Amino acid sequence: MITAALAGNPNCGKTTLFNELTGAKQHVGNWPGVTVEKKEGRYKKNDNINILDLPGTYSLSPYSAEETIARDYIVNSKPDIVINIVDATSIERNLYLTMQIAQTGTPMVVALNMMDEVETMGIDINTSKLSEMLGVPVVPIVARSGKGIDRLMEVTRDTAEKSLAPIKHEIYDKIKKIEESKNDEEADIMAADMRYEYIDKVVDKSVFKPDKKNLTKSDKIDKIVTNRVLALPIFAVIMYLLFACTFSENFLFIEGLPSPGVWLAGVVETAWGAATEAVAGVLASAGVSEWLNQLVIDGIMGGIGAVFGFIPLVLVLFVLMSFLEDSGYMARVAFVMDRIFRKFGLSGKSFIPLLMGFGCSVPALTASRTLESEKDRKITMMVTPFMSCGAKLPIYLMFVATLFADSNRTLIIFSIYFLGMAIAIISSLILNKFMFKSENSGFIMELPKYRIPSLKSVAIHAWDKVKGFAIKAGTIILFSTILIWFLSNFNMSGMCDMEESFLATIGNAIAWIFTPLGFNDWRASVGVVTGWIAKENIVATFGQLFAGVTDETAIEAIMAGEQSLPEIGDVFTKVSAFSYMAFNLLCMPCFAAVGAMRREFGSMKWTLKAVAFQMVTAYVVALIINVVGNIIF
Amino acid sequence: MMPLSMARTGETLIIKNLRCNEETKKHLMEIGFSTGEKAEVIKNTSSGLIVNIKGVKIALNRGLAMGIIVE
Repeated sequence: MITAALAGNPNCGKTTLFNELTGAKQHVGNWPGVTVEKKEGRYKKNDNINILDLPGTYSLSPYSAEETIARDYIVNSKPDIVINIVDATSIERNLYLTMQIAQTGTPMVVALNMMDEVETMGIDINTSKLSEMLGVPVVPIVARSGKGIDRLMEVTRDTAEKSLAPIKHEIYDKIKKIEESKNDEEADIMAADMRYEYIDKVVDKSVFKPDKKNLTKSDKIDKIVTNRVLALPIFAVIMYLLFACTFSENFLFIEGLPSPGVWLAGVVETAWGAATEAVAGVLASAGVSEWLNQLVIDGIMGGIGAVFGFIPLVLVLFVLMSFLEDSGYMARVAFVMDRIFRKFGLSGKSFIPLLMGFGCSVPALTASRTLESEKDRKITMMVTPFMSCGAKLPIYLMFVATLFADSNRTLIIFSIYFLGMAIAIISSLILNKFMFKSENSGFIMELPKYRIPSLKSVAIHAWDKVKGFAIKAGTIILFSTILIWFLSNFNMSGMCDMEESFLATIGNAIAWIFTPLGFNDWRASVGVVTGWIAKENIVATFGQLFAGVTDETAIEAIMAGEQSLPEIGDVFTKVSAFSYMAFNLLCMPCFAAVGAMRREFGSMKWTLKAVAFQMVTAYVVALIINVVGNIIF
Repeated sequence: MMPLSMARTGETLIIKNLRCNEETKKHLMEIGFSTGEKAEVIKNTSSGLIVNIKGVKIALNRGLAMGIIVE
């Protein structure tokens, strides 16, 4: 058994190679720091080779938390072999890490990646010269197309089996001596200088660049998207388009043209309506008892259907976001945002976790590891759940279809998302002022080349997220749907009217808490609680509690978006509905996200602090909305 | 000699010295800012700088650029 660790600079194609080698479907993004944990898999053509994908690192003396993982693994766990992936388009910088790994004496192979791009740029690389001067085998590859990978793995196996350490060139010894002579930062910097000097020589002898220097396409795009005046409007337009594609009823301002998201949702809703009808038919012909009929149709089909109908919208949103993430644009926005974010006490790098928060808080919280400063990291994690995640979207859609049917729907939803962002900004400002001493860290980030995202990568990425959503609908939401059905149809004396059920009693007992926020209905309070299990659960809960009293035809109509939930208009006004949406947006995220916070904070105390902060924020904001809203409207 | 933050867009300069704390200095070096290296300023705006160094585009804020001495 051979363990081969993939190591390299951030965004050099490690995960692409990992997927290619193992047949795995790990998410590949186009910004530095996609992989924040190490991942394992088997080489698909040889079971005896174990492949490990490490987070990207610029050097073996790590700077951020996620880089430490790679360093610790290579230095302490000693893999049989390190496959060092080198982005051939920026070979000088990449070879720095190569030299450091070679110096450890661990057997290694250099996989010279992106050879296709190098060729297009007219650069010629003499790999045998490179190999000779570095003292390690070098194999040119194109990870994206799989070219050269078989050869790479042959060399890897050979080198590992023979435990061939890198050839001990004089330079490695020299650097080692310097590092050991004085164990301080100054020696490190001297060593760094020596490495670069040597790399200069290596590149001089083995890499031949054409003389001409034109502005690359990438440079031209950068000039526009990071333009002082245009950058923010461009970003706003892109975001608006993203949302419009997902849930605009009048797509591209054409009356009655559904956006791809809305169209797809319609298809699924119709299908689900037909399925419900079929199930109802089967139940009727089987002559099942009244309560079982109710459980299946109102409880399970109604509850899950409410969630299921939104999956297409979430899918479209995720596909578009994945596309944006993979293109390389995100890193530019992080840069543009840095100056603004810094004013709020955050780093531009907080932008990526925050934006990922629109998808799901759980990976977003993990992504906050790329932040170097402890303070930035903590604040980012505390405010990430304020970004409206995919699971919260169904809640807004439910209200929009019901109470805001006559308003500009896209605008209402956009305003909720905007509210989340605004609160996140204000919160970090407050947290920065009162909770943390302001230590300012610099912003430095590599801007990856723009790439047209591969369909495969976008599909993997989006499917990964939607799958989680669908699984949740089939498990945790199914379970709580049944539980809520039971609690809302029974009390101590058996089956009863909903108004006298267990759930009504519980809901009524806590409803007073929310009275100042404008919603003192027991069903609304129950919704808040079920939302902690999963936010889209609120829709399932409402689907049951508000529509549960009516027959199947009504449920179908609701799901087809033709009819609003009955009674919901009696309980909520526009103002209280907005306050309710805001409260659920900002209050404690779902338990999965709380778990992720606990893991990333590494402390229960901080997790509780964060949750308490979110609760108070939610309450205050919803209160303001209700009070101010009622004065205005 | 001047800090990189004062460089104009389009200029190519030689890195002379890094004046910042040791940890940042080390990181700057590892990401490519070694002394004697050529840095091409692709953009210098109020939000920060984009520099092409060793064939890689690096974005950095003005605070950091102030500590990078170039000629």
